[in-house]
Formats: sequence, C-alpha cells, structure tokens
Amino acid sequence: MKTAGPSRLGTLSFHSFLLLVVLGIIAASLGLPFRARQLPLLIGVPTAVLLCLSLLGELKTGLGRRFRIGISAMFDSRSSSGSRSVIARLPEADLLSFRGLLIGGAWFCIFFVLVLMLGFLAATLLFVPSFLLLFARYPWWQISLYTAVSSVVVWYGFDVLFGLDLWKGAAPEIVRHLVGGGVLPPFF
Amino acid sequence: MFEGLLAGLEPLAGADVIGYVFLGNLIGVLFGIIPGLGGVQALTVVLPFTFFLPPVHAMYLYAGIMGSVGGAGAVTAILINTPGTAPNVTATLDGYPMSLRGEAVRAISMSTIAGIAGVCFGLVVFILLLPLVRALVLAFGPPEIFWTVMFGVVCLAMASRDNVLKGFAAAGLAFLLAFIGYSELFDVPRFTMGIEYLWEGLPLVPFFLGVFAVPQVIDYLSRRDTIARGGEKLYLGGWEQMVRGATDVARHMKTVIRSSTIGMIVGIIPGVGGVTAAFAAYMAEVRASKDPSGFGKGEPAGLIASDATIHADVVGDLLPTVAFGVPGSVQMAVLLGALILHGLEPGPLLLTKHPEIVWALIFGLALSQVVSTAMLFGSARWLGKITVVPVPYVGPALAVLTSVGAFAVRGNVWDVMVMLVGGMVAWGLRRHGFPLASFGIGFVLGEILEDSFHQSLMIAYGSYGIFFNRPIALILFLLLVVTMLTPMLRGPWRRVAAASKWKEGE
Repeated sequence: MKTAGPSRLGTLSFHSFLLLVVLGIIAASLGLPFRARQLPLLIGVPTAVLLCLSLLGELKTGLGRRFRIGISAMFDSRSSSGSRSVIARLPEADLLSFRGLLIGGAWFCIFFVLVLMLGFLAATLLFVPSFLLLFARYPWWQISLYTAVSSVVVWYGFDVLFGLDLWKGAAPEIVRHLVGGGVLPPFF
Repeated sequence: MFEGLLAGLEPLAGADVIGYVFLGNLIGVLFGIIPGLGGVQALTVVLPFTFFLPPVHAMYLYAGIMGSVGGAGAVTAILINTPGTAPNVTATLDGYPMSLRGEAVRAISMSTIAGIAGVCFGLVVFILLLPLVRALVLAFGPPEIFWTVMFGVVCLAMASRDNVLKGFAAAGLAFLLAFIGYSELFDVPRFTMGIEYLWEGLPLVPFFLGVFAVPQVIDYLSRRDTIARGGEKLYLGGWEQMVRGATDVARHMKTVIRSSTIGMIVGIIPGVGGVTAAFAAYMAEVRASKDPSGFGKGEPAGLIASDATIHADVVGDLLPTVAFGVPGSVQMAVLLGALILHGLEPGPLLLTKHPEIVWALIFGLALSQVVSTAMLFGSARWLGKITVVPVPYVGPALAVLTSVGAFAVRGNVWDVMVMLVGGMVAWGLRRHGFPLASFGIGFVLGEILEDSFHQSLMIAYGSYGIFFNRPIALILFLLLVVTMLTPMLRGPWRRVAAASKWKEGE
C-alpha cells in the first residue's frame, strides 16, 4: 500500500500542526525565567520561520526547488565525470500510504487500548488471533499455534525470565469502582 | 586510553558475554534480512531490555547487532535481489547477477570477507586515531561541546537529500521536544501543560521506538503479502566457491582499502549515512576500473567495494559518537541513547572515564564479524526463504515486542501511548519530506546542547564571548560556517567558472 506525494491540504494541515506545536512552546516559554526560556526561544523562533518557509516552498514549487541544496551535493559526481549523479541514484524508501496508516494504525491503537484495559498478556491473547482471523484470514490451527507461542513468549520471556512485572490492565480497577465491589482475593 | 583495554576485554572470558555477541548476531541477522528493518530498528527494539545488563555486556550485545546487520542484508541482496538494509542496495548490482550465474556462494564469501576486511581496516584506523582524538577531547570544555553538537546537527540537516530547510526544522522541533519536562538546571517545569506525566520529559526509548520502529510496524499491520518477492529459486553453487570468494578479496586489496577509506570518512561525517558511502565507493570503483563495462553484471570489485565500505562506515560512525557524543548516524544515535540509559555520559568524558565501554564496542565489532560470517555461511539458503514469510505473521509480533519494550524501562503504560503518537508524527514527518535522522538525533542532543550552553555562560559569568575566544571553539564555529556556506556558494561558483570558460572559448 504505497502512494505518491501528499496533497496540498495534507501538507497545509501537517505544517500547521507542527507550527502550532512550535508556537505553543514559544508562547509557553515567555512565562519562564530568562535563562530557562533562552534556548527554547533561540531555537523555537528560527524553527517557526523555517516551518513557514518550508510550507511556502511546498505550496509554491519554484520556491521549494531553491531550498534543495545540501552537503550531499559534495558527493555528487555529475560535474566531474559526466556520469549520472550519485545522489540521484540513491534509493527512495517506500512510504506507507494514508490508507495503510489508517489500517495499520487502527490495529495498533486497538492493541494499545487492549493493553491499557486488560494488560499485556490478555491483550496479546485477544489481539493476535483477532488480527490473524479478521485481517489476514488464516486457518484456525495456524492462528492457535501463533497465539499460543506469542502469549508464552510474553508471559514466560518477559514476565518470568526478564522479571518485567508487566502491566495487568486498568479494567479490574474500573469495574471495581463501577459496581462498588472489592478486589478479588488471589486465586492461587 | 589503553588502560581500559583489559577492562573491555575481560568480560569476553565469560561465556555469557560471548552469548550476548551471538544473540546480538542472531538479532542483527534477523533484522538485517527483513527489508524495512535494519540496525536502527534492531537496536531500538533491544534497547529497553538491555537496561538490566551491566553496560559492558550491553555494549557487546549492541556490537553483535551492528556487526551483523550489514552482512545479513547483503546475503538477501545477493540471493534474491532484495537488499535487507538500505546500504545493501549496491550489493544487488553485482551480487545478484553472480547468483544468477550460479556463483552465490562465491558472492556471499566475497561479501562477508570484504566486510571483515572493511571492519578490520576501520578498527585499525580507529585505534590509531584514538590517542590523537583523546588528546583533542581533553581540551574540550562546554563551549567546544556546544559547537560540536551544533556542527553535528548542521551536518545532519545539510545531508538531507531533499530539503535543507526541513532538515533544520526537524532538528529544531526535536530540540524543543527535548526541553519538555522539569529542568533541574533552572528548578522549573517547562512545557508540561500541567500534565504530571511530562514532568520527567518525553521518555527516550519510547520516543525512539515511535520514530524508528512504529512506522514500519504499522506498515506490516496493513499488508497481507510476503515480506519480499522471490526466494523460491535460489542458485547457491558449490562450497568450493567459498575459497574462490576469499581469494577474490585478496586479489582486490586496493579496492578494499579504497572503499574502506571512503566508508570511514563518510562515517565520521555526522548524518551522511551508509547509503551515500556505498554509492560513493561503488562509483569510485567504477571510475578506478580499467574496464568498467563489467559493473552491474556481476563484477567482483563492485560487490567487494560495496561491502567493505558499509562495514567501515559503521566503525567511522562510532568515532564521533564515542569521542564527541555526536552520533555519526541514526544507528549511533540509538547507541548514544543506550549510553545515556546506562547512566554513562556521552562525549569527551566517555573516553577518559569509561574507556572500557569503547574497547568493548571495538572487540565486540571484531568478534561479531567472525560470528556473523560463520552464521551467514551456515544459513544462507534458509535466510533467503525468511523473506517470503507472510507479513501478517511479522506485524503482530513486532507490535507486541515494541509495546513491551516501550513499557519495560520505566514500567509506565503511558509510555506505550507516547510511542504510538511518536510513530504517527514520524510517519507525517517522513511523508512531508522531513528527515527522521535530524529529528531523532536532535532529540538526543537537545539536553547536551542546553547543558553545554548554560555551563559555558556560567564559566564566563554570562559573557557570550566564551563561544568565540577559545581556539578550538573558534575553529569549530568557523567549520560550521564553512559547512553551511559551501553548498550555497557552489551554484554561483559554477556559474562564474562556466562564464570564464565561455569567454576563453570566445
């Protein structure tokens, strides 16, 4: 799911978002003592200007081309040997499309919510088979095997072997507060 | 400098440390052969789990990863025309045609032995330069560190292939994000928006996982195909080709030295990565050849140049990282993050206070080459098959692994959310042409930059003159100005030269 470049609206939105973050930091730093705000301002103001210029460059192609210079040009062999530019031959990494981001991002977010609510082990037990069943549509025996292996790795590898004390989830606490009950006594 | 040599070498007597190098190799090979993943992702994913290891042991693990990623990427480039990591793309030019001729074992042999030669060359130059660099860094104070960091960031931004302005903007943004949190220097919280979580600042490991690993995980969670095409038909050839490959490298020693030198130089310059080094070395080899017509059709010199330079580049990257605390590449930025995580202070003090860490990396890289060569030879046919594994098997595993990794260091589940948000922002930055290298490295260097800036002012009782009236600081400042101005002056200079040529012709 690879795609061409971003749209003008996308460019405008993303640059505005970055600009908003930088302007927010600049505004917040104005209330700080002089020494504490010195470097954030020294860096923040030029960054805001650069983002504005970058946005202008994106919206006006001719202006954008002027910015496309860099130290990479030092390795460019076009001028000396007449051969094709080295930099021009560098491979461009494939970039995930917006649709791909939505699909993949949604799955990742679902996993995060499961982790937050139920903890790592239960989230893995639920997320892995759901993904393989609903998205990849693999046969049940492969799904079962894969889920079992990944859950054992999470439980034994991280919780027991590494002693990480993995997050157990917020759901039990929330339910306790909702129904007014107490924490269940340990089962084992 | 050499007093730390024994302390760095000593852990190698233990089987556990050798085990860490092996484990590092295994992880490096696995991440190296999967396109889209590489050394940066391998180090980032492993980073949180090394928090519990002694620093020297962790360095051996990192060295194991760094030493094997490039070699593994070359194997898939040779066998199935799919570079495992970006710099391995030049290995496909001559490696794959050799495979098609039934000389895959010869090509793998050449690739791995050229890699060993590249690392050895790099390490010898590194060790020779160390006393010189150590003498230099001893003269470093806060103003010099400030300018070194600035120089590193400027190099990174200028190395942006597409847009220099975006390189600087990404670095600036990362610096600002690094300032978030309670400042011990000024005893005041900054930009926390009243959120308690942000008092400790944005956590380094989840931030790195978000920027460098999450976009790839999201990619894998949105695909149903295989990791890479091909791999069904692998032409390996006989094992006698192994010796032939080794003799090929011995016959091309000039190529090894030339390419390794290019790799070292490019590696030392912050931000100019392995891809540029690989192409620069390949082009240099084409130009130096008496008969360049064979390049791209299975010319051994092309493959040797490619692999020697990639491996020397890793060693070159290491030099500014350990000596000045300025990472030579994104991979080294993660390593720098690892040093911080282990409570070590990157920069000039590392060479003087913890030389054993530097030696552990040196010995680890050397040992890693031997281990990965054996591993790659033994598993070449099998490794090619891994790239045809369906992506849906990889995506969930990586999602679980990165999430546990983000949680592991501080035991805070919100770190997973920071990682996720960081990943989304990183995707946006990449999509709109902002270099992630500047963004990631800027975040690591933010605190060092601010500390050195204010320490300098404290030393000079508030006078900014300290940044310009010390010789090394002044040299670094001038170097920075020249670096910024050179590309800008290239255009006008070319026009003047062309005009004078035209006049002469008239």
